[in-house]
Amino acid sequence: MSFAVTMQSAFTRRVADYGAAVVACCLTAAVAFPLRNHLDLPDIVMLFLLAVFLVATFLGRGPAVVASFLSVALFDYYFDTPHHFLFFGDAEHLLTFAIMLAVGLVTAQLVSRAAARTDDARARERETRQLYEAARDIAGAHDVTQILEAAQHYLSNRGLGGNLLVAGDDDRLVDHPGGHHVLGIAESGCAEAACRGSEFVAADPRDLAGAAIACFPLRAATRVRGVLAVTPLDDHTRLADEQYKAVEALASLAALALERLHYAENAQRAEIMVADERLRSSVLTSLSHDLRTPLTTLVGLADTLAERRATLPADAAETAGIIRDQAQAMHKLLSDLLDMARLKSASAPLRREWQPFEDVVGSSLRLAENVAPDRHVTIDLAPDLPLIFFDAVLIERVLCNLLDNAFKYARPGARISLAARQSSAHLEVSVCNDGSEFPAGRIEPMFDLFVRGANESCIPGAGLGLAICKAIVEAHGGSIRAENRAGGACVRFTLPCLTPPPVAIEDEP
Amino acid sequence: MNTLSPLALVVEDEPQIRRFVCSALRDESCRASEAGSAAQGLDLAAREQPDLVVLDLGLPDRDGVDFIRELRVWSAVPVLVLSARTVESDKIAALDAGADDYLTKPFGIGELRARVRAMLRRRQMHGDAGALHAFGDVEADLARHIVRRAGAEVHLTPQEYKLLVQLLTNPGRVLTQAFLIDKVWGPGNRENNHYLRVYVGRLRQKLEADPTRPRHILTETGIGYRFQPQEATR
Repeated sequence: MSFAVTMQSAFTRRVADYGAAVVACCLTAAVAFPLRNHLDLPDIVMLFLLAVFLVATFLGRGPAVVASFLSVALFDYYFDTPHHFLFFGDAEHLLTFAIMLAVGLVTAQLVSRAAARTDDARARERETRQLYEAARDIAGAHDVTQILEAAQHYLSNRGLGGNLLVAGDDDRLVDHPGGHHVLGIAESGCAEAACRGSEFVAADPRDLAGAAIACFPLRAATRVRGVLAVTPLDDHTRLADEQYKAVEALASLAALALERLHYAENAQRAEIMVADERLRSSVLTSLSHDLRTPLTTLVGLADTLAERRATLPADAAETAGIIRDQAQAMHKLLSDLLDMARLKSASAPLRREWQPFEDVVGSSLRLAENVAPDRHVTIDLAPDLPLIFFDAVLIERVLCNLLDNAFKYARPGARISLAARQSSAHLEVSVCNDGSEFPAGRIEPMFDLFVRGANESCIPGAGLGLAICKAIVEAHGGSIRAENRAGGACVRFTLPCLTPPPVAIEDEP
Repeated sequence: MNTLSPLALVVEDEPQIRRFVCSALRDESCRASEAGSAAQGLDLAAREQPDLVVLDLGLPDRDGVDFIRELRVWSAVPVLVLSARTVESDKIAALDAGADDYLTKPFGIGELRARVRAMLRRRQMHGDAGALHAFGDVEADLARHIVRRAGAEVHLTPQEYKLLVQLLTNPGRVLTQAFLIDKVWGPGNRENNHYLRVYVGRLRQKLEADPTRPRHILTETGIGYRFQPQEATR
C-alpha cells in the first residue's frame, strides 16, 4: 500500500517536472518574442540555451531533453524566417538542436553526479557519526548490557539486530539475555565456529527467516572474547559489503570493550581478595594477641599459686592447678581454631624446606612426651630416608596431634609406635597404638571439623586435631587415612618424595 | 662482678604478666625492676646495668626487635624474649637481633624459671668456660681439636667440627639457622640450609646416645638449634 503511494507521488513529481520544462520554454519564447526585432537570432538561441541549461540543472535529464526539443521547435516556429513555419530539415537548426541537447544532457549528467556525490558524502558522514556514537557508548559501557545496547542501536540504523555471546573463562559462549532472540541450534553452531576459528562465519542462507545471518568473532588482544551474531530486522535485509565492514568495525569496538571489562573485573576481584585476605589476617593476628594475653596472665598467675603448694591449703593449691590446666586447654583450643582458620585461608604460605624427617620426629617426641612423661613411644624409622621437602612447624604439629590422640585414647601402658618408610614416590608415616580402636563406621568423618568418635565426652578435645592434620598433609600434596588393625588404631599419612638437592658430604678423615 | 643477688629487668606492658614474671624471678632469688614501655626499659637498662632482661616483643611504643638492636649496641646482657605471636619469623628476627632465648605465651612458671636459671648460670660461667666441654658421655677439647665419646676418639669432618664448636660455645642459646650457616659455611650459603640439617643429623649420629631422641643437640622447629649441655630438669 505505502509502496503504491510512494510510486504515485514520484510519478506526479515527474509529470510536474516535465510541465515545468514546457512552461520554462514557453516563458522564454514569450519573453523573447517582443524583442525579436531588436535581438539577433544567435542571442535568442542563447536565451533558449539558458532555459535548457536551467531546466537540466534543476529538473534533470528527461525534462532537459523535452526542453531541447521544444526550444528548437519554438525558435524555429516563432523566430526564424519564415515565421510560423516548422522546418527541421535545415542543417543549421539541426546543429542548434544538437548543441541544446548536448548542453541539456551534459548539464543533467554533471548535476546528477554532483548530487550523487553529495548524497554519498552525507551517507558517509552519517555512517561515521553513528560509528563514533557507538564507539563513545561502547567505550563508556560499564557492563555487557550497555555494550549490547550500543551495538544494537548502531545495527538498528542499518536494519539489523544483534545478539552478544560472551566467552567465559572455559571458552563456553554465554548468550546475553538482552539479545534479539534466543539463538537456535544452527545459529549457535555458527557462533561456536566463529569463536573457535576466530573468523567471520556467514550462516547457512537457507535458515534465513529472522535468524542470525552472520557471526563476527570479537577478537581482542589476548583472545576471542565472544561473538556478535547479527540478525536482520526484516526479510529483505542482506549483508552488503559496506554493511559487512561497518559491522566488523563495531565488532572490534565491542571486543575491546569486553576485554576492558574483563580486566577491570579481574582487577576488582583481585583487589577485593587482597583486602579480604588482609582483613582476615589482621583479625586473626589481633584475635590471637588479644586472647593470648589474658590467657598468659591466667596461666601464669594460677601457676604461681600452684607452685607455692607448701604455703597454701591443699585444696587451694589444687584449685590453682586446675585453673592453670583449664587455661592451657583453652589456649590449645584457641591455637587449633586460629591455625585452622589460617590453613583454610587461600594465602596460608607453606614454609617448605629440605630436611631429614628424623629431625622433626625428635622435636615432636620431645614436645609430646613433655605433655605425657609416663608414655613411651617406639620409634621405627627406616635407615637412609631421603631428604623431604616440608614445612617442619606444620608437620611437627601433625605428629604432635597424632601422638596426643594416641596418648588420650590408648589405655595406660599400651604400646604406641611411630614409623616412617619410603614407598615408591612417597614417605609413609604411621602413628599406631595398641588396645583401643576407632569406632567402626566413623573413621572417615573424623577428619572433618568438630567431629569426634562416639561416646567420648570424658576425653577432652574439640574434634579439631585430625582436621588440622588433614589440612596440613593435603597442603603438602600428601594424603591421610585412619584404620583399625589387629587390636589397635592407626593413622597413616604420606608426604611426596621429590628430588632432593645434592649434598656434598666431605670425606671422612 | 656483682656481689648482690642478680638484677633482672622485666619490660612488659601488661601489668598482670609483669607481676607474676617478677614473682617468679624473685623465687629465683633475683631482684626485679619493671618497665612498662620500651623507652622506660632502655632507660632502666642503661642506668641499672641488669644481669638479665625479660622482654615482651609486643610493646606499645616500639617494636621489641628494635629494642634488642639498640640494647645490643652497648650491652651484652642476656635477653629472654616473651612472644604472643606464633609466627616463627618474629622469634627469628628477635634472635638474630641478639636475643638469647624465647618463650611463647602462655608459658608455665616452671619453664620460665628454668630458662632464667640457665641464663644466669651461663652469665656467671661466661668467659671461663675454657677449651674443655662435656655433655652426656662426650668430652671435647677445643684447644687440641679432640672429641671423645665414652673415652674413644670420635672422628669429625672439618665442617662437623666447626658446627660442634658453634654449639659448644653457645650453650643453652637458641641459634638460628642463618647464624649457624653464616658461622660454618659462610654468609651467602643461606639457601643451602639443608646442609645444616644434614650435618646436625650426622653430629647426632656420632654424639647422641639415641639420635632420634636427641638430648643435647635439640631442634627448635622452624627456628634453629639449641645445644643443651645438661638434660633439662623440669
